[in-house]
Amino acid sequence: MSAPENVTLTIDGRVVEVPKGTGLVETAAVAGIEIPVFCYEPRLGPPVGACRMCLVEVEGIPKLQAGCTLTAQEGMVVGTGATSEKAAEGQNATLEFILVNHPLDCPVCDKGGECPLQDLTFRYGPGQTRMTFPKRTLDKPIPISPTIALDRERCILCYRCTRFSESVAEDGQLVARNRGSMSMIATFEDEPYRDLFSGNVIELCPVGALTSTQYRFEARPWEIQNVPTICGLCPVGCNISATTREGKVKRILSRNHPEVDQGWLCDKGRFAYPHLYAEDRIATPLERVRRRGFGEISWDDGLDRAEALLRGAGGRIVTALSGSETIEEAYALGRLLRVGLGAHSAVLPEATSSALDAFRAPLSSIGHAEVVVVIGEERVADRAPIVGLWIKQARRNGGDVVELAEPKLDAELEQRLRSSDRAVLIWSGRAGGGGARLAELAHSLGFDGKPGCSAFHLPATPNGRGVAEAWAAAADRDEANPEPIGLLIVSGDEAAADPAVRALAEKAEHVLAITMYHGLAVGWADLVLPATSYLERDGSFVNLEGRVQRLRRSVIPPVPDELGWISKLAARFGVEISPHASLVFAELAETVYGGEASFGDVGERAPLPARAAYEPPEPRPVAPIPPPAAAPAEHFLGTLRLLRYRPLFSGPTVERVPELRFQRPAAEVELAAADAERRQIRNGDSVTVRSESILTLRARIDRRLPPGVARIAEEHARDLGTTVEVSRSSNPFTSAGGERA
Amino acid sequence: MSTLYEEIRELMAVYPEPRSATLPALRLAQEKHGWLSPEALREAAEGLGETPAYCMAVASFYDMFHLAPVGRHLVEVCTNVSCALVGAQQVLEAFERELGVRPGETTADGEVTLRTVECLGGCGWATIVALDHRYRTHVQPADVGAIVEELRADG
Amino acid sequence: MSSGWGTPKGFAVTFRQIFRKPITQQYPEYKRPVYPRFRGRHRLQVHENGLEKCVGCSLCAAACPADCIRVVPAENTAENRVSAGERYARIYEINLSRCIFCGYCELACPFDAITLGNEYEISEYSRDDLIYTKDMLLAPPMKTVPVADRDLYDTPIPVYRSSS
Repeated sequence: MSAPENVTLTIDGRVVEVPKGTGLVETAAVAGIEIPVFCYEPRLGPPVGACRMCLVEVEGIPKLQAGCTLTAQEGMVVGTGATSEKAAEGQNATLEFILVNHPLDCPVCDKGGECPLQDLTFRYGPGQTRMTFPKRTLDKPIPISPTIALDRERCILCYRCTRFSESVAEDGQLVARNRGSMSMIATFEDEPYRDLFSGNVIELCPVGALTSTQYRFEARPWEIQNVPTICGLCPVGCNISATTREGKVKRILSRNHPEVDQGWLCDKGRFAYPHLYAEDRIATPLERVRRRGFGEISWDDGLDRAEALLRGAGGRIVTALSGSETIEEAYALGRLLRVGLGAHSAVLPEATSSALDAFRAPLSSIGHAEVVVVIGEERVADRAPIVGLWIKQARRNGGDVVELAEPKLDAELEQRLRSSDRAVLIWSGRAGGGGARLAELAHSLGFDGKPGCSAFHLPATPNGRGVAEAWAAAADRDEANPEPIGLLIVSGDEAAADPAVRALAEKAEHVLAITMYHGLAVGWADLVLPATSYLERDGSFVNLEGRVQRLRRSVIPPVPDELGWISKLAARFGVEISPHASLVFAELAETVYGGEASFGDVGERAPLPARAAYEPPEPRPVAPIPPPAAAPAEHFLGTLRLLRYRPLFSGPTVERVPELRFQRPAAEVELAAADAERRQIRNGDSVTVRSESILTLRARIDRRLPPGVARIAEEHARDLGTTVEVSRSSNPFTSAGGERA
Repeated sequence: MSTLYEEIRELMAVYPEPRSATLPALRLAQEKHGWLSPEALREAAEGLGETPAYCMAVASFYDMFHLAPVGRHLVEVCTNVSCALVGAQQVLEAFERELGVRPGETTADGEVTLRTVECLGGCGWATIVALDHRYRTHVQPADVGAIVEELRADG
Repeated sequence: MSSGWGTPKGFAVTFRQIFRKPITQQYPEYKRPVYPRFRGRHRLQVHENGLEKCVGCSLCAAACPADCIRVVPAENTAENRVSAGERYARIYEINLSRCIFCGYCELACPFDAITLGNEYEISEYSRDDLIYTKDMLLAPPMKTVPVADRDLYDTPIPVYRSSS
């Protein structure tokens, strides 16, 4: 690429040189001059100039100009409010006009203290109002979703939220209704704003018009601490700030890491923090008494019982990891069990591989890819929501997005991928071998030498790869499958909620569960040690790019964290592990991350390691992907393949947040239009889904779905088999609540 | 599938940018349903492949889309600058008296809806009143009684 | 310098004072009135219609140099309306062992809800007892705030819609 042409212009008497086409707001920032803005936000696409706060005087143009809509031109002479009296007067008038109907209820408003309108009014606005008429009053607050409250009196119509909805999340649900002075932000009828990314409009709003219902009246900006950490709910690892007050997490804000999340955050990451304060959170170790029920015991007793269980199993121990442990915790657990007890057998949540390190690139590279190929049947947003946003950005930037059910490329696409300099492969489905299969594909397409071409595997767990690597680093022995299992250690809530782990527990003599919630421990565990959440731990996670990111403790957990008691327990077996994550990380870094590294190297915005050389993986049996059922003949109402999916809003964490209930999938079966038509099923009909068992669900016709499949969320699919028959319910009065017919 | 869906699909094919079909699609939906009820907006949205909220936003911007039920006859009084200067307000008030409703309302018998609209493009013949989309020019408050009688007789 | 007269001169003053009226005040039997703007223990003011003036905005806590005020707000509901407007102070505590009676909280308050009164006898045997809660701070409605006196000014006492 040739170097962009530079232009020289003068802003407030300062000469500044920037590449041609740079926005005036950024250009001024280069010169150390601020042009105040409300509506301008480069991440939302082209500027709209709606708020008029950025008025500047440009020499040669008689009227004031909206600075945000201008770009740097050669020889331009610009005066901002700091030097140009005309511009200052314009900005003052703009603010006075904005404030005419603004309620000025700052003491009551959640935004008060961190409000751009407040700040800019102090600096650029009039000290007094000339408005003597009663202000316009409207009903408020209006819950536009269970998590977002809208106050139309405070709205200044900057259109940031609607632009986000239209051109970033592309959900088109939040719109401006009416025109002129009657304009108002609205959703359709009374429908809630239901989108994976709806919470971002709260952060975008420059006034207190859109506020979080969870954070409503919880704290003022001078009473809080923002802890920079990362989200531990999906493999992206979005950078977040946890706002805490008086030792409690009050809200989650995004923290822009331009390579990872660009400052967007999904609703799961943003609104799921109340899981820390769930009613059934376990606060002390629990021991099973008699057949049913638990008795609370002290931590000393708890560790004694754990020691006894570990010794009693005599090495016949299996550990089920959930992939949401920090790498330090997994390493410590590995050292305790593998070195201290010789128990090498572990159930990892999914296959992992480092093969994709050869095709590593930041997630942001998806955003300007020419062609994006998504392989797999799971929706990207269900596994890694931010990746879904990057793909949308690629499409807006003119890239082609191809979705394939299985890794079979036709010749044309293959040629295109080979010749492109900016191609991206994404594996979003099962049986990907942790990225090994995708790496083979990328290698065969010649991605090795092209730094612009990358490949990403979307794991199912937030830190599956980090946990696997840390567990492997703990000892150098092959695992043996003990039979019978003396003790099953269940680490984490996801493992505790996993039916496969539950099945394994049937075969185990004893079960030690490390979980946060009573509901997950009841009925099967002999000893329960309380767990902590990602917001309460120090440590690090490895995200899907292979980026090691630092998790910081936002609040002190109600129980000792895992690393603390694992270190104590390990000492009883003669294994020395530090209870401090930083020291464990340093120890681990030497073996896994090749050399010395400390938390200081990770930093607040973790860098991406360089690409590794591609090494062909050892041949291993690859689980075959079940072939999609052929579309049945016209008049034959054959079976459909059941596509179970794990929705983003599912799992033990989300289940404990009542505000997120509206985001969870309804008891529905999604059908392709052709399949539905053949069965005379219309949208919203009650249908019977039949395999070994029978369920009644509501039908939803999805035009994006390929024919031949019935897509049902895991929580509603229950024990249906792999192929199902779908037909209209014969009894129209059967309620579509998902009951067993 | 409803015919509306197919008609909108045909419309979209005419434009290089499918979204351009929004206004004609909404007009079709309004013709079919009489007004743009939530149901009508939903149908239009399905045809366009947009969200109902988007259709609602567009429809609420324009005066010629009705987001509330209207009567059999429609009386639209222009209250923009030119008409206002020659007394559109008095004409409007005359209609209010004659029909017994306020602007935006429909008479109790469901016959006539009275609305104010923005410029109808007849500034040279102000005040403009559109009766079921047919213009009456130079309307004076004194003419209103006859106009309403005519409308009622027509029904 | 010593001339020998020093001692008699000194005693002369002493003897003169013996026959004057003493200025010692017998506290606590006698309590000297304080100046009107004396800054004593805080009061939380209430509107005449019973609603608290405080909306729980925490500006007093922000202004406090001793960091002795803690406010935890909550939302007014139709069933439980405590203050005018959307929010009220569910918890309002002042740690008077830390308070320096500077009056910044009074200055910061946008609703004249917190004022410093004239009371200064606030000693306790336990530090815990010096944490004053909202119940202890709430004062009966005052007639002397001029804007609340309808006879003098026509500023209405705010009444808010139930939906807010």
